[in-house]
Amino acid sequence: MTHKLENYVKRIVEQTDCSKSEREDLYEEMLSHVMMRREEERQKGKTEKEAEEEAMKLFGREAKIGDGLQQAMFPYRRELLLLLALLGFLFTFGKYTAVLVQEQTALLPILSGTAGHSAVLFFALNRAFAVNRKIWLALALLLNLLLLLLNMTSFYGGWQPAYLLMIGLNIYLMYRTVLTYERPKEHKTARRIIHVVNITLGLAAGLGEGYIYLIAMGF
Amino acid sequence: MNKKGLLIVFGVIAFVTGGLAAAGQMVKSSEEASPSFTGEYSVGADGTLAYVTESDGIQTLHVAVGEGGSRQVYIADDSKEIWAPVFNGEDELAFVETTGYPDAPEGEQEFQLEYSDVRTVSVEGGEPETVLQVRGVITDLVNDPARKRWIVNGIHLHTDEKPEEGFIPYSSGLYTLRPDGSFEEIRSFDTYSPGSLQISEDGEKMLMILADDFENATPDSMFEATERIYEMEINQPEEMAVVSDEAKDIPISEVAAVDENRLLYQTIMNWGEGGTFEYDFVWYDRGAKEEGDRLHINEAVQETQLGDDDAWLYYVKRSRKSDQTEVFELFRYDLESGEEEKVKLPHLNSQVLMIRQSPIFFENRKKEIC
Repeated sequence: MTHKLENYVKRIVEQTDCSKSEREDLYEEMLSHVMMRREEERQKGKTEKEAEEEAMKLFGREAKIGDGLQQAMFPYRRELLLLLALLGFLFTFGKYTAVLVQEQTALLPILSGTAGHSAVLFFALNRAFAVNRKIWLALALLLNLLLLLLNMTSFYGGWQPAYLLMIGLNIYLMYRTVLTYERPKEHKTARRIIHVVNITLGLAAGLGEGYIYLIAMGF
Repeated sequence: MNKKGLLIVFGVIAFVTGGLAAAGQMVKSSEEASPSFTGEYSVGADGTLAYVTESDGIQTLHVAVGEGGSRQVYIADDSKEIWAPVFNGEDELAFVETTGYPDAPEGEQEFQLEYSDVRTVSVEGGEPETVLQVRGVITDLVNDPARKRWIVNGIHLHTDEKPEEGFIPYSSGLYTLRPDGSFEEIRSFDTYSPGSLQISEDGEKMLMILADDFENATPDSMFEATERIYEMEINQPEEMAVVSDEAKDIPISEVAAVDENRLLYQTIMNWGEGGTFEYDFVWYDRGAKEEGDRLHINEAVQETQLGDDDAWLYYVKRSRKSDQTEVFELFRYDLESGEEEKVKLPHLNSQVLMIRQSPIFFENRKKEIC
């Protein structure tokens, strides 16, 4: 019957954005809590099955607990990811359709942005696949940012405020994802500094290269 | 969200993206097949309009007829473009058919490998006649009715069969061309090519725009140079007189001679004030060397021509679509009322099939195959 409790705790842990090792730590810790609760119920005279049911009932629904854990680690991240993905789809499809109707021009390259938006949306919605979310989410955000920058000329004019909002939100989420540590880490401050420097240098180098490229192309 | 939910969400996204891409491809194919104005046109003395369109990479010369109709008078070869159409009286058009500017990168121009022909064709259509075939790129063709000739402006023009070898510094030249094909150089220019050519009614003088260091240009002087209006006597081409105000250092980009004393030219109205340049046409009194009122067109235009007894100023506005493709539109400005209107070129979508099936089209294709 322990198998049922293990599955229950596993489903809770899957609701969080932890890395694999952090997820294993969390799993062990939560499983021991649930099993302690089961033992208490058994000592009250309940059968093993009844004790398990009661322990799970007292602990709460998996999704709710997982959401609670995730929100405690990074409040509103899922909502922000959803907002970023939805804004991306809205403006990519909106701009493409508007240009198609008004100018009879197909801005096909702009549709490449949907790959980045889909990657971000996947991590906002995913509760089915256990992956190292921190790394893959950071990569998804980087992909989304690169595609947004690549399609930047399409967002000029009246679309620029929305474009700048998406870029800002994307960069914020990138920093926030990389700089959030779910459990106490060794040398946390040093890690933070290294990550901030790495990301900032990467972004600055990318923007610098983009600027040189535009100058070289005669813009 | 579980696996099924994810599958549904991303399935919908893939479907919408694929649908939009397919719709875009259909629109793109349809647009490419529809004729579009290339920006090349001419206005006859009686107000008749000739203009060039392109569809599927093939350029066609049309003459506007009646109310909203048009007649195709020449279809260019696949790889060639029709430039500088000009009315030669009321019944004939002359134009340049050229391979265009070379694709070589800056500094490695190979104009001598390009070809340009000057042809004439009746405004009713029919078989065109070739007046001149040269190597190089002919950029302008100006009709000189008083002397029954044309003035040709071009880059690296020569009539030799073989191209000159190696890198040749940029140079352009003005030539006279007579209907019998006789072709004589008036003068040449290093570094620059004169623009906005205008010829006087008696055919003795020409107005043109050139940078003021055209006689001795250096890399440093080119940065400081100002485009001015010059007048050249065709029989004494080395004597170039500045017509615009020499005291002003504001570039001039288009000119139209309304009469002997009055010019209209396009210049920058906010020169030295920073920000985006604001172009406009202004009147200019040659005698007093003074600028007059501006027309308030308020944007840069090109290919300026006077038409209908100098009552209208015709010009082309160039813009870019969101995919960076260029769009040309023809406008005209009533010099009396000050009203601007867009010239509606006959809608040509329905004529694509007709162009393909016309005798001229098949005749051209037969020549290509042979």
